[in-house]
Amino acid sequence: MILELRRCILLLTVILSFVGTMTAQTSSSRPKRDIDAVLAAHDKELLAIPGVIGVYIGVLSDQKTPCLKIMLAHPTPESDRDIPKQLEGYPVTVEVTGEIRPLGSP
Amino acid sequence: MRNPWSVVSSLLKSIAVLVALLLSLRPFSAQADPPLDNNHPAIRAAIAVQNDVTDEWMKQPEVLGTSVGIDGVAEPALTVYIDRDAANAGEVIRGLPANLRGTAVHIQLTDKFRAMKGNPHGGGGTSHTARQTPPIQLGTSGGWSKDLANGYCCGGTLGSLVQIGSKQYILSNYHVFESDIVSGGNGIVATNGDPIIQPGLIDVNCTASNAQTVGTLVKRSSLPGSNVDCSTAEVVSGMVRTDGAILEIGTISHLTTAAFINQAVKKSGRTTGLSRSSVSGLNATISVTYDNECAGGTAFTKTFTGQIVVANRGSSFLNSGDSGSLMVEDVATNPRAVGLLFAGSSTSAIANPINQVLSFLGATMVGQ
Repeated sequence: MILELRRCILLLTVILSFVGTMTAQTSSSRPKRDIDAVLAAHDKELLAIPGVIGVYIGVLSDQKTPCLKIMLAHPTPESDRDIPKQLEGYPVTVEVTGEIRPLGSP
Repeated sequence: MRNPWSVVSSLLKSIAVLVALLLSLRPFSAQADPPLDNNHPAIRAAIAVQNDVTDEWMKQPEVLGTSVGIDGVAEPALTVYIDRDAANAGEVIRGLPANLRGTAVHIQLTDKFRAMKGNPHGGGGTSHTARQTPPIQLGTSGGWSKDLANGYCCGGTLGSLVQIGSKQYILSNYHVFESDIVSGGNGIVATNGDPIIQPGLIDVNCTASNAQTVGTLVKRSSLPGSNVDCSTAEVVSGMVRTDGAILEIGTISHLTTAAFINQAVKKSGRTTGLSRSSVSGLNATISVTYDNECAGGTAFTKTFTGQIVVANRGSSFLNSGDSGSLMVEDVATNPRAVGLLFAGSSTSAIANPINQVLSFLGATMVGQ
């Protein structure tokens, strides 16, 4: 009986420590500051990547999760390599938009 | 029992051998590769695959076409165009292979392909290009009367009406009214007092005498220095509706509202007429390159900040000639202004937040 109880306590301890680890990992990847501030801090370095012509705040396909969206005139080796998957905890997605140009003349 | 470190060590060695093997199988891309034209062996292989499968795949109405191109890692690939509006597009996509005889198969969701014939009448039967009987409604073709250079004429949209002090002004873009800043191909530059006409030169065979003067240019020189692409024309008395009515939208509110993601919006413009979409992004930092006159050379590249991004699939919301359109919230009565549309691509339209424009001009919207 006592042996059984010890086993249960041990199992519980293992489970609790696992949950604690997972929680710590989740909170470490959670965004720490406002997404506008993140964009303002990184837009210049992103625009410096060849092929990148814009960056803005949008949502993922679930229509609610905030993300940073990168606008590409066209894919380049540098854009494939240097655009991060996330920035300060926010997901980063890429859209090939083509050149953004003034829409004056037909 | 085996030492666990020896197990890990063996595993790492196996992975290293596998990576080395895979690397050795890669083509020697550093060597002088032949050009990736139709004679390139890999391109020919991809075309052979394309020829074998296209007819069969296109029996499915969801498959709109195929093409051979280069993927993101410069390898030939077969692209399959799937109708994004098809109900069972997902099922069709799942049925396609990722790779066929060594050629990667890529999926591209797209609108239905259509001939790019102009549609100057918009969607509702109201012409946005015809010369109107004054006083005119806005959301119509217009521009600088001398916007003719290098064998082309240019124009855009007379978007909306604003009030500055006691006077009313037509609001459009810098690049529609006053971006001719070099003598260049026509020997002139845009100057205060120049006529602003309706329709624009592009809709009167480049002949200003076929149009009517509805305003006189009051340059604002918003670019390249400021963060907005705007310009104004002082209304010629009796030529523009004083209530600021816009074709197919009607009168708007004198109030404005800030954009938010998924906000339903609409606009009335020269090329696509009345069109609707939704806001897909905010606070955009975007680089846009401007010409120094109609069909001229590059004047400057401007990086805007804080812009509004709107879904523009297939340029159905905003297309060339729509610049200057006012974007408003999509409500039936007296909608509030959201942004001044000025740029885009076939996927995205860009608008200056209207409050930035009004603040720059010291203006208010004319409306109810």
